[in-house]
This record gives sequence, C-alpha cells and structure tokens, in this order.
Amino acid sequence: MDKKKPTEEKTREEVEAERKAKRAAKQERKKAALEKHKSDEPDSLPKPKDRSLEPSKKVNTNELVKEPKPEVSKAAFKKSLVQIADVTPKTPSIKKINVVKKLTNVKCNKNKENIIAEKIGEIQPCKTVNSLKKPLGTVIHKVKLFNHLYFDTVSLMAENKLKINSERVHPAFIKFGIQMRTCIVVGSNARCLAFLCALKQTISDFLTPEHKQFSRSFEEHLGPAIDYLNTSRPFSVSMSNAHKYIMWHVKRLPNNISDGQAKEKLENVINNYIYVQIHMAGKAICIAAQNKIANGDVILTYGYSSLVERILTEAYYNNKQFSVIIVDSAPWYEGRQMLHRLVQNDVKCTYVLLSATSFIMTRATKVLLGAHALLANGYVMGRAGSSQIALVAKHFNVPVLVCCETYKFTERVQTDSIVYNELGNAHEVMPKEQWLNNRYLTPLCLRYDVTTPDLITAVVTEIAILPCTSVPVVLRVRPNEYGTYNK
Amino acid sequence: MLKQEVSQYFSNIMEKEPDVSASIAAISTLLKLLEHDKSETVQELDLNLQSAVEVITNSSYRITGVSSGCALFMRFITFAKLDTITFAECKKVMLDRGKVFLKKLTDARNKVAKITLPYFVDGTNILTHSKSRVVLEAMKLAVNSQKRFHVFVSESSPDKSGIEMYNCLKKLNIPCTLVLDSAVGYIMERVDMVMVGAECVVESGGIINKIGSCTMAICAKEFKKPFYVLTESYKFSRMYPLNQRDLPYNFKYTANNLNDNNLSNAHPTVDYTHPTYISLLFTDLGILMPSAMIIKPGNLLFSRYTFYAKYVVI
Repeated sequence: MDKKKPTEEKTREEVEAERKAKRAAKQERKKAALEKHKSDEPDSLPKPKDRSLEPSKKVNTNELVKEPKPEVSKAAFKKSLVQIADVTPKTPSIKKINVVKKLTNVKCNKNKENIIAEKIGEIQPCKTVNSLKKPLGTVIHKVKLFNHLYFDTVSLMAENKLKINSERVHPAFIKFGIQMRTCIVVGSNARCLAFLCALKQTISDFLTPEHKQFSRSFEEHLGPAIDYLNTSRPFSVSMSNAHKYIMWHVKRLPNNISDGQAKEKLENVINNYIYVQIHMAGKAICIAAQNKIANGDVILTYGYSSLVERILTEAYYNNKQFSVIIVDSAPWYEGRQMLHRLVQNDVKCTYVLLSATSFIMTRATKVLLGAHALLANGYVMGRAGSSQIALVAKHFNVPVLVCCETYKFTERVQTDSIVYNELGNAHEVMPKEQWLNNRYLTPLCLRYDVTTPDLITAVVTEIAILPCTSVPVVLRVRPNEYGTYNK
Repeated sequence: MLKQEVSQYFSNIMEKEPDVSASIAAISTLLKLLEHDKSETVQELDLNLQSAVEVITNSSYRITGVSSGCALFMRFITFAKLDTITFAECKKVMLDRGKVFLKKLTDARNKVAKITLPYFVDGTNILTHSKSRVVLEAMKLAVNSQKRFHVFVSESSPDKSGIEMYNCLKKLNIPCTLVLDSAVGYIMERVDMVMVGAECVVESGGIINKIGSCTMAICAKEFKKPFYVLTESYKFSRMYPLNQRDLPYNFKYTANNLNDNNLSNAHPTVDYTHPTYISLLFTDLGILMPSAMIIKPGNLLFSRYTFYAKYVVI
C-alpha cells in the first residue's frame, strides 16, 4: 500500500502535467486557427476605422492584398493533414513508449518542472494525433437548421476578386457592395436608394459595344455586377423590385436607340422611381399615419425605420401631442439612432430594451413598425424582434400599424423565418474568442423575422390603410410597369 | 337650391319616410339638387354638391353611412364620358345616371334579403339588435316564405330603437321577445344565430353599428354562435378605425353633443365591431367573409377609388 500510494500521487502529477501540456498545445492551435480564420473571413477585415466611404481604388488594392492568403493557408493545412496521416499508424507504439517513460519518471522522483518539460516535448507529436479525431482549427460553426443561409465566403471572395479585376463591375457597385457588407448602408430604403444611384452611374458610364444593341449589351454588362452585389449581401426585396422595374424598362428600349437617348430615358425612369415610389410614397404614408396619431398617444416603435422616423417627426411638427417609446435590441442597437434623431427634434422619448416590452406595452396606445417587405400571404417581414413586439401588443390589445411603401410588396409566400432569411455576423452576437474554438457553441444571428397577419391591425401604405391580407389585391392592381404583373 | 332648402328637404325625407335610410335620403337630396341646380360649369356644380353633402353631414341625424353613400354617388354620376357635350346635356346624363344609381341602391335591400333566406332554418332562434331595415326586410321575406323562427330583440338604449323593431316584427306576425340590453349574455345560450344590420362597413371588414353591437358580437363569439351582418354595399366606407377611440367624433356623437363641447358625459351612439367577431357579411354583392371584404369587392373599392385616392394624395 505504501509503495503504491506515492505512485498514484505521481500519476496525478503526471496527469496534471499532461493537462498543462495539452492546454499549451491547444492554445497554440487556437492561435493558428485564429490567424487562419482572419485570413479566411472577409467580414473581419474592414476595421471600423476604414468604415468611412473609401474610394473604390483603395478597396481594390485591399482585395488584392487579401487574395493570396487563403490559398497559402489552405496549402499549409493540406500539408499538415498529410503529416498527420503519416503519423497515425504509429500511434500505439508512441503511446507505449510514453507509458514506459512515465513509469521511469515516477521511479526517478524528479522535480515536477522537469517532468513537465519532458512531457511537453514528448506529448507534442501525440497531440497532433489526438487532434485528428476532432476537426482541427476549422471548427465549423453552422446551425443545421439554417444551413441553407450560409454561403461559402472563401470561394465567393475569390470569385469576386476575379470579377472586380476583370473591370466588368463598375466601381460604384464595388463601393456599394462593400458598404452593404460592412453595414454602412443598412435599411431597405437606404439600400434601394444606394443601389439605384450606383445603377445610374453605371448607366451614364456605359458604352454600347459596336454592332450591338444598347438594351441587350447593357443587360449583359450588368450581370456580373448583380452577382457581385448578391455575394456581398443578398438583395433586399426593395432592391430586387427596383431592379426588375428598371430592367423591364431597359428591355423595352427600341433597338435603334442611340446611347445618349437611352441613357437619358433610363435616368428619367430611375429618378421617377425614386421620386414616386420612395419619396412621394413616404409622404403619402406620413399623411395617412398622422391621421391615426391622436393627441395624448403613446407610440411604441422598434428599432430604426426611416419611414417611422419621418412620420413621427412630421407629426411632431404638425403639433400632435404624443410621446414615443423606443424599443431596442442587441446586437445592432438601431433604436439608438432613432432615439438620437427624435430627441434632436425635441420629441419626448423613452428608451427600453426588448426584454422590457411586456412591461412597457401597458403604457403604449399604438405600435408603429417599419417593414422590410410585405409578403403575398399578408405576413410582414421585419427586423428580427418585431414579431415579438406585435405579439405582445396583441396581448395587450394595442393596435399595431405597419408602415410600408408598396414597392416593398413581394409575391413571395413565407410562413416562418427559416426558409428565407439573412444571417448577420455571428461575432456581433458574441465576441469571436468565446466561441471560435468551441465546437459546442455556435452563435446565430438572424436579421429578419416574419409576423403573422393576425397580429397586425393595419398596414399603412401610400394607397390606403389596409388590412394585411389585402397585399395580393395591391399586387394585382399594381401598375403594369412591373415585370411581375400578371394579366 | 339654398343650404336651408337642402337641409329641409333632407330632414323631410328622414322624418316622413322611416323606411328610407340616411344614405338614400342624402342621395335623393343630391339628385333633387342636381335637378334644380343652375350652375354653368362642372366645377360649380361639384362645389354645390360638396356643400350640400356638408350640410347633410352636419344635420342632427345619425349620418354614419352618409359620407360613403354620397362619395359613391358623386363618383358614379361623373363616371360617364362628359367631354364632348354641352353642359346642359352633361347635366342630363348625370341626372339619368343618378336615378339609375338610386334605383340600384333601393334594390340592394331586396337582394340581401334574398340571399339571406336559406339561413333561416325552421325553428331557429335569432337575436337581433336595435332596428335595422335590412334585417326587417330579410325577416319579412322569410316569414312570407313560410319559415318558422323566433326573434329576440334587444331593447337598444338610449333611443330604444329595439322597441320599434319589436313592434314592426309583431305587425308582421313574427313571434318575438323583447330583451334587455344587459340580458344579451343571458339570452345568448338560447339563440342559434345573431343577425344585425350595419350603419357602415369599414375597410378592415369590421362594422360600425348602433352601440351594443360589439358587446353582442363578443358574446356570440364566446358562445360560438354565428354573428351575421346584413348590409347593402353602398355602406362600404373608405376608413380604417383601429379601435373605438379611433372612430371619428361626428360618428360617435350627435351634432347636439358635439356642440356642447363636453363629451365626457355624452353617450356614444355607435361602436366598432372588429372583423374577427363577424362570421359573415350578407351584401348585395354576395356573401362575404369579413377578411375577404377588401378582396372580393375589390372592383368596387380598388379600381374605382384607390387610384382616385392616390391622385388626390399625391
């Protein structure tokens, strides 16, 4: 017994030593993985400093610098894999040796430190073997349910570089793509406006190749740019509607039209679209929504919507007496922008987080929400969290008004937030260090959710105030200019 | 025609012909005005008609459905091609169209009664609220077609219009019982369906009706009894109340109350019934689900109004 005890203790020490060594090895791996991930992940590259609008040239160089890295790391990764594969068959023998050595060590009663030092040296090769069992470094952080929403950034980036370098994508689009990806341009309206402006520039800089028609060659010319934008961030409904509309007009251009005329025509079309579908529609909605704001109202709103902000400030300037409760949520805290802008206009505001909704809802008399899109079955697609607001409002019998221009109506049908959604950057939810090497933890960051029509009292559009379910009617009577119109 | 004459003519119809609803009275007043009008241009005529509508809506009668009826009338008479002819001819065309329109509206009630008939099953107990001409018409037709049913009529304070309804039903030899407003919950388990009229159908598919309808609708929903609304399509109105508070004051209160400026003690005369409580709407356009209200008469509401409204706004 006496003899055995010390050995047991020793083994404990050994175990400790082993653990320490493991930790050290792990940290090394982490470092390597982090570095690798940095080079792989495009989102992490543009730092907040660079977020100001950079000229497209600089962007170009940035991309060029980035390019070789992933390839190198890939090659390195492959090499290491090969090495590991070589080592694998030897594992049992190495382990045996280890065990023998351990025993000898125990007998020698050496200092701990020495043991540790030795262990590290010995265990290292063993570690690489162990690591084979777990996927090394590249722990795949994907939530299975949302697998279809992830896109392979590495391959897409490479493709993009090809596109950008081939000079087929107009710099305006490159700039816009980066602005979208880095969330400088956010919001359905803002993205649509930026898209149309970029499109305008492209049109004005476009030259029809010889022996070709303007409309066809322009469509071809625009293809890579659209693909590029789609990889930067999926098109919003507003953008795709605007794109469809403009392309419908491009297709309708006569064959023998000169470049100048065509450009002028298209520019008019775009300007008109911006004016009527976005600006005037917003104005009409402002008027309609203001009629629904009574004196003494407490209006609850969620996050930031340019339209809701416009309605509230205009209502304030029309001497309506009301106060606003702004509900906000992580990770983007868009409500702060709303708060900032409303307070600047001297509107009375209260600011709470989403977790306090059920508490604060008892004080609200109306809920105003913005929307990303309205779907054909009457569901409202909005910033993630708005369906919760609507649900709580319904529970407290507070009428919910959704403000949305008709150009955001879509014929898509959707009943959950899973099939079609967008993923934000997971590191916005949680710092990267906390989950990157933990394969049991995957943060999920969804941008949108859908709200059922029975939670919504009315939709305020430029046409009228409507129930949600009348979206198909609006889609049907929408003027013929849209390519989607069915007779 | 002076404003006074307009108002007199309107109140004359309202008092002497109890069978005519306010909208019809308003429209016939407008027709009368059109006949006697001496204006020289379309603009002037339009202005005259507008001011007449204003006079009517400011009268002391309940005018919930009037504005929608008048708007429909104005739209309908100006729907013809009026560009190429002289103004006298133009007026004649308008007058003819107006008469056609009025006839259509007066026929609407019979149509509604006809499509409601199959819903009267022998031995049913029906609960109704206040006095509604459409409901009365439907019951009249049902009893004439040898249907046997029993009607419970709620008293409907404050004007006790339920008693009027009760008397009308008695005259028609329909077995009926007068119940208190507060007895709606008590009686609900005995009835098989609730049938009410509407002063106005709004865009959400809900109705604005005599106060107490909302209570009845909620009660019916809880007892799982169907809540049927009988209404003519000219009562469809382009507004969208969010809740009771959102109803316009001139709907909720009579002109006398509004003049007093003290509304805290005034009793509202109408309430808004949310579409979720309504089972079906019987109209001259057919039987509609309240949720489909906006879709089905889409031709009426949308193609005719929407773009009109759009141009007005923009």
